[in-house]
Amino acid sequence: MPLAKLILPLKGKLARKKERDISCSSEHKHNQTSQLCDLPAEMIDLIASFLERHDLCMLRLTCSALRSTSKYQFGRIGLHTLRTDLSKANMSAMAELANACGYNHHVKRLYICGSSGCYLGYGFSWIRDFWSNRYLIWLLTSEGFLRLRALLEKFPNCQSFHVSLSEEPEEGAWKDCISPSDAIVVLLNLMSCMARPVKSFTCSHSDPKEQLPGIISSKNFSSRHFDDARLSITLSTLTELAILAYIKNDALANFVCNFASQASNLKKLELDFAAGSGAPTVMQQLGSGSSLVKLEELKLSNALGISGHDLYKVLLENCASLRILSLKVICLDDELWETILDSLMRDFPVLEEMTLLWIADRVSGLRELYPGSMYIEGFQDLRGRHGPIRVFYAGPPVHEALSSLLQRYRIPAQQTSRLAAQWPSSRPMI
Amino acid sequence: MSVPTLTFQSNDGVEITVARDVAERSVLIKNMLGDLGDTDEAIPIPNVNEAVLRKVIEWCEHHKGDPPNTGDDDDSRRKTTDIDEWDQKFMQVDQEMLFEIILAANYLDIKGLLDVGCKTVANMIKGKSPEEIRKTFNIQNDFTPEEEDQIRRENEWAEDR
Repeated sequence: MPLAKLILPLKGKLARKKERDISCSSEHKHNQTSQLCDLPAEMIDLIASFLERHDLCMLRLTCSALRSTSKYQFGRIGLHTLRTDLSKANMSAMAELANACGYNHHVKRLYICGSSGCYLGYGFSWIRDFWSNRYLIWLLTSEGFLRLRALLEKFPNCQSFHVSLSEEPEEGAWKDCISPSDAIVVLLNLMSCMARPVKSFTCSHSDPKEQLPGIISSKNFSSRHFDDARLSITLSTLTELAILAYIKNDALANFVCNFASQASNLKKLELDFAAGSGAPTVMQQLGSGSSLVKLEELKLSNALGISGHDLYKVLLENCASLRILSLKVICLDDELWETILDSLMRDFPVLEEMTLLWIADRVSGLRELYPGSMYIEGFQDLRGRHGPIRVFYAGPPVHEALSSLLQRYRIPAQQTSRLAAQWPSSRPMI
Repeated sequence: MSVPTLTFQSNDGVEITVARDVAERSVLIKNMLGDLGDTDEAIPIPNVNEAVLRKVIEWCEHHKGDPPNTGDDDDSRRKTTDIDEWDQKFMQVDQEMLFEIILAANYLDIKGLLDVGCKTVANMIKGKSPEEIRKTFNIQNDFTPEEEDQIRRENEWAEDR
Protein backbone atom coordinates (compact mmCIF):
# COMPACT_ATOMS: atom_id res chain seq x y z
CA MET A 1 0.00 0.00 0.00
CA PRO A 2 1.46 3.44 -0.86
CA LEU A 3 2.78 5.25 2.18
CA ALA A 4 0.80 8.33 1.30
CA LYS A 5 -2.42 6.36 1.79
CA LEU A 6 -1.25 5.05 5.13
CA ILE A 7 -0.16 8.33 6.56
CA LEU A 8 -2.98 10.43 5.20
CA PRO A 9 -5.60 9.07 7.63
CA LEU A 10 -3.44 10.56 10.33
CA LYS A 11 -4.38 13.88 8.90
CA GLY A 12 -7.75 13.39 10.55
CA LYS A 13 -5.99 14.13 13.81
CA LEU A 14 -4.86 17.28 12.20
CA ALA A 15 -8.16 18.64 11.03
CA ARG A 16 -7.88 21.57 13.38
CA LYS A 17 -4.23 21.90 12.58
CA LYS A 18 -4.99 22.34 8.88
CA GLU A 19 -7.09 25.36 9.63
CA ARG A 20 -4.36 26.59 11.88
CA ASP A 21 -1.82 26.15 9.14
CA ILE A 22 -3.68 28.66 7.14
CA SER A 23 -3.82 30.95 10.10
CA CYS A 24 -0.12 30.37 10.72
CA SER A 25 0.71 31.75 7.32
CA SER A 26 1.20 35.43 6.67
CA GLU A 27 -2.58 35.93 6.64
CA HIS A 28 -2.57 35.01 10.29
CA LYS A 29 -0.90 38.22 11.29
CA HIS A 30 -3.52 40.23 9.51
CA ASN A 31 -6.27 38.31 11.31
CA GLN A 32 -4.73 39.35 14.62
CA THR A 33 -5.41 35.96 16.20
CA SER A 34 -2.94 34.47 18.62
CA GLN A 35 -0.97 31.37 17.62
CA LEU A 36 -0.76 30.48 21.29
CA CYS A 37 -4.54 30.49 21.67
CA ASP A 38 -4.84 28.48 18.45
CA LEU A 39 -2.72 25.61 19.73
CA PRO A 40 -4.61 22.39 20.46
CA ALA A 41 -5.84 22.21 24.04
CA GLU A 42 -3.45 19.40 24.97
CA MET A 43 -0.48 21.55 23.97
CA ILE A 44 -1.61 24.52 26.04
CA ASP A 45 -2.15 22.10 28.88
CA LEU A 46 1.46 20.92 28.48
CA ILE A 47 2.77 24.51 28.45
CA ALA A 48 0.69 25.31 31.55
CA SER A 49 2.09 22.22 33.30
CA PHE A 50 5.54 23.85 33.22
CA LEU A 51 4.33 27.01 34.97
CA GLU A 52 4.46 27.90 38.63
CA ARG A 53 1.25 28.85 40.41
CA HIS A 54 1.63 32.61 40.05
CA ASP A 55 2.46 32.46 36.33
CA LEU A 56 -0.46 30.14 35.73
CA CYS A 57 -2.75 32.62 37.49
CA MET A 58 -1.47 35.38 35.19
CA LEU A 59 -1.95 33.22 32.08
CA ARG A 60 -5.59 32.45 32.85
CA LEU A 61 -6.27 36.17 33.21
CA THR A 62 -5.32 36.84 29.58
CA CYS A 63 -8.32 35.52 27.64
CA SER A 64 -11.17 33.05 27.86
CA ALA A 65 -9.53 30.53 25.50
CA LEU A 66 -6.41 30.22 27.63
CA ARG A 67 -8.45 30.23 30.81
CA SER A 68 -10.43 27.32 29.51
CA THR A 69 -7.50 25.28 28.16
CA SER A 70 -5.35 25.79 31.27
CA LYS A 71 -8.18 24.82 33.59
CA TYR A 72 -6.92 21.34 34.41
CA GLN A 73 -3.44 22.55 35.31
CA PHE A 74 -4.88 25.41 37.36
CA GLY A 75 -6.78 22.85 39.37
CA ARG A 76 -3.82 20.47 39.62
CA ILE A 77 -1.18 23.04 40.50
CA GLY A 78 -3.17 25.87 42.03
CA LEU A 79 -5.99 24.20 43.92
CA HIS A 80 -4.26 21.08 45.25
CA THR A 81 -4.19 22.71 48.68
CA LEU A 82 -6.70 25.21 50.02
CA ARG A 83 -5.74 27.41 52.92
CA THR A 84 -8.54 28.23 55.29
CA ASP A 85 -9.01 29.82 58.70
CA LEU A 86 -12.39 28.04 58.98
CA SER A 87 -14.17 31.37 59.38
CA LYS A 88 -17.72 31.74 58.11
CA ALA A 89 -16.62 34.13 55.36
CA ASN A 90 -13.79 31.89 54.24
CA MET A 91 -16.01 28.81 54.17
CA SER A 92 -18.54 30.68 52.02
CA ALA A 93 -15.76 31.56 49.57
CA MET A 94 -14.66 27.91 49.51
CA ALA A 95 -18.24 26.86 48.81
CA GLU A 96 -18.28 29.27 45.86
CA LEU A 97 -15.08 27.69 44.55
CA ALA A 98 -16.49 24.20 45.04
CA ASN A 99 -19.52 25.14 42.99
CA ALA A 100 -17.36 26.55 40.17
CA CYS A 101 -17.48 23.98 37.42
CA GLY A 102 -15.03 21.13 37.86
CA TYR A 103 -12.69 22.64 40.44
CA ASN A 104 -13.89 20.71 43.48
CA HIS A 105 -12.26 17.43 42.41
CA HIS A 106 -8.80 18.99 42.32
CA VAL A 107 -8.71 19.86 46.01
CA LYS A 108 -6.64 17.21 47.80
CA ARG A 109 -5.54 18.95 50.95
CA LEU A 110 -6.84 21.46 53.49
CA TYR A 111 -4.29 23.68 55.21
CA ILE A 112 -5.88 25.14 58.32
CA CYS A 113 -4.08 28.25 59.43
CA GLY A 114 -5.32 31.39 61.15
CA SER A 115 -4.62 34.64 59.38
CA SER A 116 -4.30 36.50 62.66
CA GLY A 117 -2.69 34.67 65.54
CA CYS A 118 -3.89 31.20 66.31
CA TYR A 119 -7.63 31.83 66.21
CA LEU A 120 -9.83 29.97 63.78
CA GLY A 121 -13.49 29.63 62.93
CA TYR A 122 -14.71 33.21 63.46
CA GLY A 123 -18.37 33.76 62.64
CA PHE A 124 -19.65 30.61 64.32
CA SER A 125 -20.53 29.82 67.93
CA TRP A 126 -18.38 27.00 69.24
CA ILE A 127 -18.85 24.78 72.25
CA ARG A 128 -15.55 24.54 74.09
CA ASP A 129 -16.63 23.00 77.39
CA PHE A 130 -14.09 20.19 77.25
CA TRP A 131 -14.91 18.87 80.70
CA SER A 132 -18.52 18.16 79.90
CA ASN A 133 -19.62 14.66 79.03
CA ARG A 134 -21.88 16.17 76.43
CA TYR A 135 -18.96 17.81 74.59
CA LEU A 136 -19.02 15.42 71.64
CA ILE A 137 -22.78 15.81 71.12
CA TRP A 138 -22.47 19.60 71.25
CA LEU A 139 -19.58 19.59 68.82
CA LEU A 140 -21.29 17.35 66.28
CA THR A 141 -24.37 19.55 66.20
CA SER A 142 -22.60 22.91 66.17
CA GLU A 143 -23.08 25.19 63.16
CA GLY A 144 -19.37 25.41 62.29
CA PHE A 145 -19.01 21.63 62.34
CA LEU A 146 -22.05 21.11 60.14
CA ARG A 147 -20.95 23.81 57.70
CA LEU A 148 -17.49 22.31 57.39
CA ARG A 149 -18.98 18.89 56.85
CA ALA A 150 -21.22 20.20 54.06
CA LEU A 151 -18.21 21.88 52.52
CA LEU A 152 -16.03 18.78 52.61
CA GLU A 153 -18.80 16.81 50.93
CA LYS A 154 -18.15 19.07 47.95
CA PHE A 155 -14.43 18.18 47.91
CA PRO A 156 -14.55 14.39 47.62
CA ASN A 157 -10.80 14.03 47.00
CA CYS A 158 -9.72 16.12 49.96
CA GLN A 159 -8.05 13.47 52.12
CA SER A 160 -5.05 15.33 53.55
CA PHE A 161 -5.08 17.83 56.38
CA HIS A 162 -2.53 20.14 57.87
CA VAL A 163 -3.24 22.12 61.02
CA SER A 164 -0.91 25.00 61.74
CA LEU A 165 -0.33 25.10 65.47
CA SER A 166 -0.07 28.06 67.77
CA GLU A 167 3.30 28.93 69.27
CA GLU A 168 1.69 30.16 72.48
CA PRO A 169 -0.39 28.28 75.04
CA GLU A 170 -4.03 28.14 74.05
CA GLU A 171 -5.70 29.72 77.03
CA GLY A 172 -9.12 31.31 77.28
CA ALA A 173 -12.76 30.33 77.34
CA TRP A 174 -13.82 32.09 74.18
CA LYS A 175 -16.69 30.70 72.15
CA ASP A 176 -16.57 32.86 69.03
CA CYS A 177 -13.57 31.02 67.63
CA ILE A 178 -11.52 27.87 68.07
CA SER A 179 -7.84 27.09 68.60
CA PRO A 180 -5.67 24.84 66.40
CA SER A 181 -6.02 22.06 68.99
CA ASP A 182 -9.80 22.39 68.76
CA ALA A 183 -9.48 22.22 64.98
CA ILE A 184 -7.66 18.88 65.30
CA VAL A 185 -10.54 17.52 67.39
CA VAL A 186 -13.09 18.93 64.92
CA LEU A 187 -11.28 17.43 61.92
CA LEU A 188 -10.79 13.98 63.41
CA ASN A 189 -14.44 13.81 64.42
CA LEU A 190 -15.52 15.14 61.05
CA MET A 191 -13.53 12.50 59.19
CA SER A 192 -14.99 9.80 61.43
CA CYS A 193 -18.55 10.99 60.87
CA MET A 194 -18.08 11.21 57.12
CA ALA A 195 -16.23 7.89 56.91
CA ARG A 196 -13.78 9.81 54.74
CA PRO A 197 -10.48 8.03 54.20
CA VAL A 198 -7.59 10.19 55.37
CA LYS A 199 -4.24 9.88 53.62
CA SER A 200 -2.13 12.37 55.47
CA PHE A 201 -2.36 14.40 58.66
CA THR A 202 0.12 17.01 59.81
CA CYS A 203 0.25 19.30 62.84
CA SER A 204 3.11 21.75 62.82
CA HIS A 205 4.07 25.31 63.45
CA SER A 206 3.06 27.57 60.56
CA ASP A 207 6.61 28.53 59.72
CA PRO A 208 8.89 25.49 59.76
CA LYS A 209 11.90 27.71 59.02
CA GLU A 210 11.57 29.35 62.42
CA GLN A 211 11.81 25.89 64.01
CA LEU A 212 9.51 26.93 66.81
CA PRO A 213 7.58 24.14 68.47
CA GLY A 214 3.85 24.17 67.94
CA ILE A 215 1.67 23.94 71.01
CA ILE A 216 -1.05 21.34 71.44
CA SER A 217 -3.43 21.67 74.34
CA SER A 218 -3.65 18.38 76.22
CA LYS A 219 -7.13 19.07 77.61
CA ASN A 220 -8.55 18.63 74.10
CA PHE A 221 -7.54 15.04 73.71
CA SER A 222 -9.55 13.15 76.28
CA SER A 223 -11.06 9.88 75.07
CA ARG A 224 -14.58 11.29 75.53
CA HIS A 225 -13.87 13.71 72.69
CA PHE A 226 -13.73 10.94 70.11
CA ASP A 227 -15.73 7.96 68.99
CA ASP A 228 -12.82 5.53 69.10
CA ALA A 229 -14.35 2.84 66.90
CA ARG A 230 -15.12 5.29 64.11
CA LEU A 231 -11.80 7.06 64.47
CA SER A 232 -9.97 3.78 64.17
CA ILE A 233 -11.65 3.07 60.82
CA THR A 234 -10.82 6.54 59.55
CA LEU A 235 -7.19 6.34 60.61
CA SER A 236 -6.73 2.90 59.09
CA THR A 237 -6.25 4.56 55.69
CA LEU A 238 -3.69 7.07 56.96
CA THR A 239 -0.29 6.65 55.28
CA GLU A 240 1.47 9.85 56.41
CA LEU A 241 1.45 11.34 59.88
CA ALA A 242 3.54 14.27 61.07
CA ILE A 243 3.23 15.75 64.56
CA LEU A 244 5.71 18.55 65.08
CA ALA A 245 4.70 19.85 68.47
CA TYR A 246 5.79 20.29 72.04
CA ILE A 247 4.89 16.98 73.66
CA LYS A 248 5.05 18.31 77.17
CA ASN A 249 3.41 15.55 79.19
CA ASP A 250 2.10 12.00 79.25
CA ALA A 251 -1.43 13.06 78.30
CA LEU A 252 -0.16 14.41 74.99
CA ALA A 253 2.17 11.45 74.62
CA ASN A 254 -0.83 9.13 74.95
CA PHE A 255 -2.70 11.09 72.31
CA VAL A 256 0.22 10.84 69.88
CA CYS A 257 0.60 7.10 70.51
CA ASN A 258 -3.11 6.49 70.21
CA PHE A 259 -3.13 8.40 66.93
CA ALA A 260 -0.12 6.57 65.51
CA SER A 261 -1.09 3.11 66.71
CA GLN A 262 -4.55 3.31 65.10
CA ALA A 263 -2.96 4.19 61.78
CA SER A 264 -2.18 0.60 60.92
CA ASN A 265 -1.15 1.36 57.33
CA LEU A 266 1.18 4.22 58.12
CA LYS A 267 4.11 4.51 55.70
CA LYS A 268 5.65 7.80 56.84
CA LEU A 269 5.87 8.98 60.43
CA GLU A 270 7.49 12.21 61.52
CA LEU A 271 7.60 13.24 65.17
CA ASP A 272 9.33 16.37 66.44
CA PHE A 273 8.96 16.35 70.21
CA ALA A 274 10.41 19.83 70.65
CA ALA A 275 12.36 18.51 73.65
CA GLY A 276 9.12 17.85 75.51
CA SER A 277 9.21 15.46 78.45
CA GLY A 278 6.58 13.22 76.83
CA ALA A 279 9.07 11.83 74.29
CA PRO A 280 10.20 8.81 76.41
CA THR A 281 6.56 7.77 76.94
CA VAL A 282 5.82 7.99 73.23
CA MET A 283 8.85 5.90 72.30
CA GLN A 284 8.10 3.38 75.05
CA GLN A 285 4.52 2.90 73.84
CA LEU A 286 5.49 2.76 70.19
CA GLY A 287 8.16 0.22 71.03
CA SER A 288 5.88 -2.07 73.02
CA GLY A 289 3.95 -3.95 70.37
CA SER A 290 2.50 -1.05 68.43
CA SER A 291 0.90 -1.67 65.06
CA LEU A 292 3.61 0.34 63.31
CA VAL A 293 5.25 -2.35 61.28
CA LYS A 294 5.21 -1.06 57.71
CA LEU A 295 6.98 2.27 58.01
CA GLU A 296 9.02 3.22 54.98
CA GLU A 297 10.09 6.58 56.35
CA LEU A 298 10.68 7.49 59.99
CA LYS A 299 11.83 10.91 61.14
CA LEU A 300 12.36 11.69 64.81
CA SER A 301 13.59 15.03 66.11
CA ASN A 302 14.30 16.70 69.41
CA ALA A 303 13.69 13.64 71.57
CA LEU A 304 15.66 13.85 74.80
CA GLY A 305 16.08 11.11 77.40
CA ILE A 306 14.43 8.36 75.36
CA SER A 307 15.43 4.77 75.95
CA GLY A 308 17.76 3.27 73.37
CA HIS A 309 15.93 -0.04 73.83
CA ASP A 310 12.62 1.57 72.89
CA LEU A 311 14.10 3.25 69.83
CA TYR A 312 15.74 -0.01 68.82
CA LYS A 313 12.45 -1.90 69.18
CA VAL A 314 10.57 0.63 67.03
CA LEU A 315 13.27 0.39 64.37
CA LEU A 316 13.42 -3.40 64.39
CA GLU A 317 9.66 -3.71 64.05
CA ASN A 318 9.96 -1.83 60.79
CA CYS A 319 13.24 -3.30 59.59
CA ALA A 320 11.71 -4.98 56.54
CA SER A 321 10.18 -1.80 55.14
CA LEU A 322 12.25 1.15 56.37
CA ARG A 323 13.86 3.04 53.46
CA ILE A 324 14.57 6.45 54.99
CA LEU A 325 15.50 7.16 58.60
CA SER A 326 16.18 10.56 60.07
CA LEU A 327 17.30 11.04 63.68
CA LYS A 328 17.96 14.65 64.61
CA VAL A 329 18.90 15.81 68.09
CA ILE A 330 18.21 12.50 69.79
CA CYS A 331 19.66 11.90 73.24
CA LEU A 332 19.43 8.33 74.52
CA ASP A 333 19.38 7.71 78.25
CA ASP A 334 21.67 4.71 77.73
CA GLU A 335 24.64 3.89 75.50
CA LEU A 336 23.06 1.86 72.75
CA TRP A 337 24.02 3.94 69.74
CA GLU A 338 26.71 1.57 68.60
CA THR A 339 24.32 -1.42 68.69
CA ILE A 340 21.59 0.51 66.92
CA LEU A 341 23.83 1.93 64.19
CA ASP A 342 25.43 -1.45 63.63
CA SER A 343 22.05 -3.11 63.31
CA LEU A 344 20.89 -0.46 60.84
CA MET A 345 23.76 -1.43 58.54
CA ARG A 346 23.06 -5.16 58.77
CA ASP A 347 19.39 -5.85 59.45
CA PHE A 348 17.52 -3.36 57.27
CA PRO A 349 17.38 -4.75 53.73
CA VAL A 350 15.80 -1.75 51.99
CA LEU A 351 17.34 1.11 53.99
CA GLU A 352 18.86 3.59 51.55
CA GLU A 353 19.21 6.87 53.40
CA MET A 354 20.01 7.77 56.99
CA THR A 355 20.35 11.16 58.63
CA LEU A 356 22.13 11.35 61.98
CA LEU A 357 22.32 14.87 63.32
CA TRP A 358 23.41 15.64 66.85
CA ILE A 359 22.84 12.23 68.30
CA ALA A 360 24.00 11.89 71.92
CA ASP A 361 23.72 9.59 74.90
CA ARG A 362 23.69 9.90 78.68
CA VAL A 363 27.49 9.94 78.78
CA SER A 364 28.08 12.51 76.08
CA GLY A 365 25.11 14.32 77.59
CA LEU A 366 23.04 17.26 76.55
CA ARG A 367 25.93 19.66 76.53
CA GLU A 368 27.24 17.78 73.52
CA LEU A 369 24.09 18.65 71.65
CA TYR A 370 25.46 22.11 71.18
CA PRO A 371 28.52 22.96 69.10
CA GLY A 372 31.60 21.95 71.01
CA SER A 373 35.18 21.09 70.28
CA MET A 374 34.50 17.63 68.82
CA TYR A 375 32.35 17.98 65.76
CA ILE A 376 32.03 16.13 62.47
CA GLU A 377 29.71 16.67 59.53
CA GLY A 378 29.19 15.62 55.93
CA PHE A 379 27.70 12.70 54.04
CA GLN A 380 29.11 9.37 53.01
CA ASP A 381 27.94 6.27 51.18
CA LEU A 382 28.41 3.26 53.43
CA ARG A 383 28.43 -0.42 52.56
CA GLY A 384 25.46 -1.97 54.31
CA ARG A 385 24.96 -5.72 54.28
CA HIS A 386 22.19 -5.40 51.72
CA GLY A 387 23.55 -2.52 49.64
CA PRO A 388 24.84 1.04 49.83
CA ILE A 389 23.31 3.41 52.38
CA ARG A 390 23.87 7.14 52.14
CA VAL A 391 24.45 8.70 55.55
CA PHE A 392 24.17 12.42 56.29
CA TYR A 393 25.70 13.28 59.62
CA ALA A 394 26.66 16.16 61.85
CA GLY A 395 27.48 16.57 65.50
CA PRO A 396 29.70 14.96 68.12
CA PRO A 397 30.90 11.40 67.51
CA VAL A 398 28.88 10.06 70.50
CA HIS A 399 31.70 8.14 72.10
CA GLU A 400 32.98 6.92 68.79
CA ALA A 401 29.70 5.23 67.78
CA LEU A 402 29.23 7.54 64.80
CA SER A 403 32.94 7.61 63.89
CA SER A 404 33.05 3.84 64.19
CA LEU A 405 30.04 3.49 61.87
CA LEU A 406 31.63 5.72 59.25
CA GLN A 407 34.92 3.85 59.50
CA ARG A 408 33.69 0.26 59.68
CA TYR A 409 31.27 0.43 56.80
CA ARG A 410 33.31 2.71 54.56
CA ILE A 411 33.22 1.79 50.89
CA PRO A 412 36.66 1.27 49.31
CA ALA A 413 37.73 4.19 47.13
CA GLN A 414 37.56 2.25 43.85
CA GLN A 415 33.87 1.55 44.40
CA THR A 416 32.85 5.07 45.35
CA SER A 417 32.98 6.48 41.80
CA ARG A 418 30.63 3.77 40.57
CA LEU A 419 28.26 4.53 43.43
CA ALA A 420 28.42 8.24 42.77
CA ALA A 421 26.96 7.61 39.33
CA GLN A 422 23.98 5.84 40.89
CA TRP A 423 23.02 8.76 43.09
CA PRO A 424 21.60 12.03 41.83
CA SER A 425 24.39 14.62 41.73
CA SER A 426 22.82 16.96 44.20
CA ARG A 427 21.05 15.13 47.00
CA PRO A 428 19.50 17.63 49.37
CA MET A 429 21.59 18.27 52.43
CA ILE A 430 19.44 18.19 55.50
CA MET B 1 28.52 -0.09 4.69
CA SER B 2 26.15 2.79 4.00
CA VAL B 3 23.89 4.21 6.68
CA PRO B 4 20.23 3.25 6.15
CA THR B 5 18.21 6.28 5.17
CA LEU B 6 14.62 7.39 4.69
CA THR B 7 13.16 10.14 2.58
CA PHE B 8 10.55 12.57 3.91
CA GLN B 9 8.40 14.72 1.71
CA SER B 10 7.29 18.03 3.20
CA ASN B 11 3.84 19.44 2.49
CA ASP B 12 5.37 21.83 -0.04
CA GLY B 13 6.74 18.90 -2.01
CA VAL B 14 10.42 18.97 -1.03
CA GLU B 15 12.11 15.61 -0.42
CA ILE B 16 14.67 15.38 2.39
CA THR B 17 16.82 12.32 3.04
CA VAL B 18 17.45 11.43 6.69
CA ALA B 19 19.42 8.70 8.45
CA ARG B 20 17.00 6.09 9.73
CA ASP B 21 18.15 6.33 13.35
CA VAL B 22 17.56 10.11 13.22
CA ALA B 23 14.11 9.64 11.69
CA GLU B 24 13.22 7.14 14.39
CA ARG B 25 13.36 9.83 17.07
CA SER B 26 9.81 10.26 15.80
CA VAL B 27 7.65 7.62 17.44
CA LEU B 28 5.13 8.01 14.62
CA ILE B 29 7.74 7.15 11.99
CA LYS B 30 9.29 4.41 14.11
CA ASN B 31 5.94 2.69 14.63
CA MET B 32 5.04 3.10 10.99
CA LEU B 33 8.29 1.49 9.88
CA GLY B 34 7.76 -1.25 12.43
CA ASP B 35 4.40 -2.02 10.86
CA LEU B 36 5.48 -1.69 7.23
CA GLY B 37 9.13 -2.61 7.17
CA ASP B 38 11.74 -0.75 5.11
CA THR B 39 10.61 1.44 2.28
CA ASP B 40 12.21 3.32 -0.58
CA GLU B 41 9.20 5.53 -1.06
CA ALA B 42 9.22 9.12 0.15
CA ILE B 43 7.15 9.40 3.34
CA PRO B 44 4.74 12.32 3.12
CA ILE B 45 4.68 14.56 6.17
CA PRO B 46 1.46 16.49 5.74
CA ASN B 47 1.15 19.96 7.25
CA VAL B 48 4.87 20.35 7.91
CA ASN B 49 6.68 22.56 5.44
CA GLU B 50 10.28 22.25 4.34
CA ALA B 51 11.70 24.89 6.70
CA VAL B 52 10.03 23.38 9.75
CA LEU B 53 10.87 19.83 8.72
CA ARG B 54 14.55 20.76 8.34
CA LYS B 55 14.51 22.29 11.85
CA VAL B 56 12.88 19.17 13.28
CA ILE B 57 15.47 16.96 11.58
CA GLU B 58 18.27 19.19 12.89
CA TRP B 59 16.96 18.64 16.43
CA CYS B 60 16.64 14.89 15.90
CA GLU B 61 20.18 14.68 14.55
CA HIS B 62 21.56 16.48 17.59
CA HIS B 63 19.59 14.28 19.98
CA LYS B 64 19.87 10.96 18.15
CA GLY B 65 22.03 9.50 20.94
CA ASP B 66 19.66 10.52 23.75
CA PRO B 67 18.08 7.71 25.77
CA PRO B 68 14.57 6.92 24.56
CA ASN B 69 11.79 8.76 26.32
CA THR B 70 10.13 6.50 28.87
CA GLY B 71 6.83 8.27 28.46
CA ASP B 72 6.75 9.12 32.15
CA ASP B 73 4.49 12.03 32.68
CA ASP B 74 5.23 12.55 36.32
CA ASP B 75 5.42 15.72 38.33
CA SER B 76 9.21 15.79 38.53
CA ARG B 77 9.39 16.27 34.77
CA ARG B 78 6.97 19.14 34.99
CA LYS B 79 8.76 20.94 37.75
CA THR B 80 11.60 22.30 35.70
CA THR B 81 11.66 24.58 32.74
CA ASP B 82 15.43 24.27 32.42
CA ILE B 83 16.47 23.91 28.80
CA ASP B 84 20.00 22.92 27.84
CA GLU B 85 22.15 25.45 26.06
CA TRP B 86 22.02 23.86 22.59
CA ASP B 87 18.22 23.58 22.75
CA GLN B 88 17.93 27.19 23.91
CA LYS B 89 19.88 28.36 20.86
CA PHE B 90 17.91 26.01 18.64
CA MET B 91 14.68 27.57 19.87
CA GLN B 92 15.80 31.13 19.15
CA VAL B 93 13.38 31.44 16.24
CA ASP B 94 10.43 33.69 15.57
CA GLN B 95 7.13 32.81 17.20
CA GLU B 96 5.62 31.46 14.02
CA MET B 97 8.45 28.93 13.62
CA LEU B 98 8.33 28.09 17.34
CA PHE B 99 4.65 27.14 17.22
CA GLU B 100 5.16 25.27 13.93
CA ILE B 101 7.94 23.23 15.57
CA ILE B 102 5.67 22.43 18.53
CA LEU B 103 2.88 21.29 16.24
CA ALA B 104 5.24 19.23 14.09
CA ALA B 105 6.78 17.63 17.20
CA ASN B 106 3.31 16.76 18.43
CA TYR B 107 2.27 15.29 15.09
CA LEU B 108 5.49 13.31 14.64
CA ASP B 109 5.37 12.30 18.31
CA ILE B 110 8.82 13.55 19.32
CA LYS B 111 8.35 13.97 23.06
CA GLY B 112 11.71 15.62 23.76
CA LEU B 113 11.22 18.29 21.13
CA LEU B 114 7.62 18.88 22.19
CA ASP B 115 8.78 19.40 25.78
CA VAL B 116 11.54 21.81 24.74
CA GLY B 117 9.09 23.79 22.59
CA CYS B 118 6.48 23.99 25.33
CA LYS B 119 9.09 24.89 27.95
CA THR B 120 10.28 27.69 25.69
CA VAL B 121 6.75 29.08 25.53
CA ALA B 122 6.38 28.63 29.32
CA ASN B 123 9.60 30.62 29.81
CA MET B 124 8.16 33.39 27.62
CA ILE B 125 5.15 33.54 29.97
CA LYS B 126 7.07 33.46 33.26
CA GLY B 127 7.28 36.64 35.28
CA LYS B 128 4.88 38.56 33.04
CA SER B 129 1.63 40.30 33.90
CA PRO B 130 -1.52 39.32 31.97
CA GLU B 131 -1.14 42.43 29.84
CA GLU B 132 2.48 41.62 29.03
CA ILE B 133 1.53 38.05 28.08
CA ARG B 134 -1.22 39.41 25.81
CA LYS B 135 1.28 41.72 24.16
CA THR B 136 3.86 38.96 23.69
CA PHE B 137 1.44 36.54 22.06
CA ASN B 138 -0.96 38.97 20.43
CA ILE B 139 -3.90 37.93 22.58
CA GLN B 140 -7.17 39.85 22.71
CA ASN B 141 -8.69 40.30 26.16
CA ASP B 142 -12.27 39.08 25.81
CA PHE B 143 -13.23 39.07 29.49
CA THR B 144 -16.01 41.15 30.97
CA PRO B 145 -15.08 42.96 34.21
CA GLU B 146 -17.27 40.47 36.10
CA GLU B 147 -15.44 37.50 34.60
CA GLU B 148 -12.10 39.05 35.43
CA ASP B 149 -13.23 39.53 39.05
CA GLN B 150 -14.33 35.93 39.20
CA ILE B 151 -10.94 34.69 37.93
CA ARG B 152 -9.07 36.91 40.38
CA ARG B 153 -11.12 35.44 43.22
CA GLU B 154 -10.28 31.91 42.03
CA ASN B 155 -6.62 32.87 41.67
CA GLU B 156 -6.53 34.00 45.30
CA TRP B 157 -6.95 30.37 46.37
CA ALA B 158 -3.91 29.38 44.34
CA GLU B 159 -1.74 32.26 45.50
CA ASP B 160 -2.70 32.19 49.18
CA ARG B 161 -0.26 29.76 50.80
